[in-house]
Amino acid sequence: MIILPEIILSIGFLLLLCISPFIKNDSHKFIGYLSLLLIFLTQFSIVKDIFIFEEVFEGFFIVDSFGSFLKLIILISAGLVLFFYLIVKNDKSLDRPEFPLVVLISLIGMMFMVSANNLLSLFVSIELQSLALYILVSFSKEDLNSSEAGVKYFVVGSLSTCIFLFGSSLIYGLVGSTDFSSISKYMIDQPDIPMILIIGLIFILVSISLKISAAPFHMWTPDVYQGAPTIVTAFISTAPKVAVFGVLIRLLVFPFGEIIVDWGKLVIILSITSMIIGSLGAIMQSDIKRLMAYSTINHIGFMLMGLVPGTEDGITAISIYLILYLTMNLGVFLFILNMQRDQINVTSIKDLSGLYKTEPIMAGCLAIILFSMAGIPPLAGFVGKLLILNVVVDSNLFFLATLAVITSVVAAFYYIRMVKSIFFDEPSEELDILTNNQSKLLMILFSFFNLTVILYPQFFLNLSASIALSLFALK
Amino acid sequence: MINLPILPILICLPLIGLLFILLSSENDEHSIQSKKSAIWTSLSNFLLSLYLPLNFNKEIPHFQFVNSFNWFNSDNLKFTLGVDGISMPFIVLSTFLILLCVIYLFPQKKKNMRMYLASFILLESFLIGTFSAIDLFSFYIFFESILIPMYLIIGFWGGDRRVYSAYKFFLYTLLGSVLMLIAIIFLYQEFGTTSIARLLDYTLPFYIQVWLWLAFFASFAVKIPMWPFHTWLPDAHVEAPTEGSVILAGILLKLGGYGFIRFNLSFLPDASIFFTPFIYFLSVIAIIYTSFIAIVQDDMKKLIAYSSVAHMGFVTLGIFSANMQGLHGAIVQMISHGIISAALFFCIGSIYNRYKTKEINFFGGLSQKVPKMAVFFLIFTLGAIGFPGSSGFIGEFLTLMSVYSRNTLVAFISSFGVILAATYMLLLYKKVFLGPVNPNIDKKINQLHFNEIITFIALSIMILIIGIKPNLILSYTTSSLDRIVSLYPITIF
Repeated sequence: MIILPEIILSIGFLLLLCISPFIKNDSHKFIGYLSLLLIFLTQFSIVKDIFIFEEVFEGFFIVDSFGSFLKLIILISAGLVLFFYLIVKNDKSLDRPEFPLVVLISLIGMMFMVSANNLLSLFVSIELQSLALYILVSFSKEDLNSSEAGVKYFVVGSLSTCIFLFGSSLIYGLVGSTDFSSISKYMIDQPDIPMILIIGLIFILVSISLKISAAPFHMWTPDVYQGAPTIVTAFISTAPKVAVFGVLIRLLVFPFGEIIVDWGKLVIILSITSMIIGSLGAIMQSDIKRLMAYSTINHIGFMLMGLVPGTEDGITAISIYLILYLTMNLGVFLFILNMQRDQINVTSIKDLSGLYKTEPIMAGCLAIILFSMAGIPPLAGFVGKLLILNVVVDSNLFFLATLAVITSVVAAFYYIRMVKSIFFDEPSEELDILTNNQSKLLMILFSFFNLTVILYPQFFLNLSASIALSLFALK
Repeated sequence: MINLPILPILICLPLIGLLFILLSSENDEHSIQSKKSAIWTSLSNFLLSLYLPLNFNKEIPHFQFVNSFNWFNSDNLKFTLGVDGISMPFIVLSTFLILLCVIYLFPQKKKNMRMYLASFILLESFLIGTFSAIDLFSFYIFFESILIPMYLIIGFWGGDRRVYSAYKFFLYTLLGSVLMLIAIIFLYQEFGTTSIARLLDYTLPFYIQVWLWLAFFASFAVKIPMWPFHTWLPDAHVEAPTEGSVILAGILLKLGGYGFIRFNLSFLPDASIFFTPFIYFLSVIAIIYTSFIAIVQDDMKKLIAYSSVAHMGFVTLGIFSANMQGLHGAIVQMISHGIISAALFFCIGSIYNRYKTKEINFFGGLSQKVPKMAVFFLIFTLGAIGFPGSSGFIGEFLTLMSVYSRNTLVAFISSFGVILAATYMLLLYKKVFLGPVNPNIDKKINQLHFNEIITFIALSIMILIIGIKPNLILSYTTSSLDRIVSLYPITIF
């Protein structure tokens, strides 16, 4: 069975859905742990067949190691977020069995997304994951901010859907098929590419940029990040970003690889604006979640840069950056989840002040992760940045590289501003001491990972290189 | 001779010591445990670093004690450590100054002493790494890592405006060095290797050299610092704690000069010749202008900070004169400034510990209160002026001599810097130590304690030794510098 992982996840999800009403006490915990188990099983079945390369359902989906690898990352990060959900004290409204179930639906959507090989299947799977995410964002029913964020996300998301559909229809009208390989073949056969096709691609690119929150299509991100319950923010800033980035890479490299000259410029523009807005926008923010939204935009801009040359090295670099970005982001969000004062969650940067006094170890871990996000060697973030810059300089885009490093210096400012709050400021009111040891252990693991990646970058390079290779096998 | 992997040991030993410091008991009132671990770590590291000069082969111009580790699975991108005559003195200087810092700190109390010591020990590891990395990427990694402990040292233990200064220090130096990163990546793409030794064999077209030169310059000019990129330095110095200033002035600034010699001068000779007038221009301004600024400072630390910029002006003059005397002068000047400014900052720290102020006008007649310190301060002051017999003299003399052979006018103007240095240093000494006792300080205070005296004596001896026998350093550097000097014509303009 080629699509065993998806089948396991879907059937498991249905089973969990059926049994959830029959569990009386702490049903969300029970379902949550079962979902974790399910995710683990799915991962296992992916790892088993990670080097398989096959088209399924008449080319509707494709199973290759690029997709399998992204699925693994998605499942791992979603599993971690679910684990966070289980170990930290959440808002009452989140303690419902539906929460892990909705996460599972969106996971199914993401898994199909990264293996979609047809505009139609791609559209359906994007919708599946997006709809689940809208629900998640507005999960805290009593919280007005959460509902507001949900509505915003929904409106922007539907707009993105429309744009995607419009772009696809243009391409379909021209090519006569929605199949990726037909599109690719059409472009190879055609001596000069009609403008309509490029316009269609631009529409698709805009739609995906909306999903991935690349500037100038980022407007919803800060609001949604801030309004959504923190656990949901942790989720939407990790797994879906990987999935959508995977879609973007697959689309641009395979069917549209022929017109790299055209989309290369667009991606450059997207990445420049994202890096600038991501770094400048965060400077004055006082809320960590909002700041993390801009930080995501900045990182996305950095990753988009690696896509510009459209080479294997670029994809390798992006894959590694994605992994490192996930570990940093999850680390910060795990900390935010644990930021409580008098049992109430707080998310302001000011609340971090004097953290080193109450929680020296956590303060150290968080500082390591923040320095890593800023890309200061010898931490993990630097490795990612180095690999991406390597690709960019290799294709002689010196202007882009210079701009990238300058914006990363600006971005470093707001990361070290948080470090400043942690270490240099006198504590205003102390945060509650972290009582759950799992969170502490996880934080230490995340920061340890960030510290030591520099020692074995080759492991990730080898891993990602073989994955990138499989993507180019199609060409 | 046993073949000891000395450089990896020098880098890893502080990291092991760091673990001991971090694991030492926190509740201990004077943090004796962590201080002891720090002393043992830095002492053993200093003694181990003496292995380098003792076993160094002065005839070989190439890198010695080379250790290479696989890092990325590529023959061209390895984690490589090694020293030659240029970097070796700086490694010893780093271990020496860190040891003195820890000794000086021993009797003191500070908030969170454990973390403070840990930062310095971590810094030591990074500094040795920076000076011994002979692969561009490993160099860059160590070079940038230094920012993290230094940011924490300034920001956490500094004075009133510490946060501002810490930001300024961090962002300035980061902005400079990221441009170098692009240059490094470019070199890697162009030649497929980042080994410094192998890159020396390649030559680049002129217009590429110019860009690369500017990228490296951005990084090192901020670090050293040259006028007009120096504005972070006074702030950082004034706000940093004593030991932070010592390391900042003593070693961190030298990274800039070291980088200029190692990269700009060795890799990019054509661009270096092209930019020499530019460097001369900036250096002369630095020497004259910052000396004048130093004269009018009210704050002792700020005065020394500006004098550092002026002294570094001599260093850049010497480096870009690109002849043997100039480079010798620059290296001696860097080492000697590393010792003298460290000594001055230690003295000011001792004064500050007693009176809680660094205002020059607050003092007067201090020599009657702490006569021993007055003696030491005089030695260091004379060193800073460049008094014959002190190490400062050698550096300035050699530098001016080399500049004279290149450009008489520049040498003429910059020699005024020596007079100006005498002006501001002697004025400082007069205002603080001589004259009638200022009523502000007319109270009973502690005399110098044992650790301070050890520190000062060690530094004074070093100043005198280098001043009397500079060949101790120069004999190591000559063969490595020969190669660089041979790249440059005897007359530049």
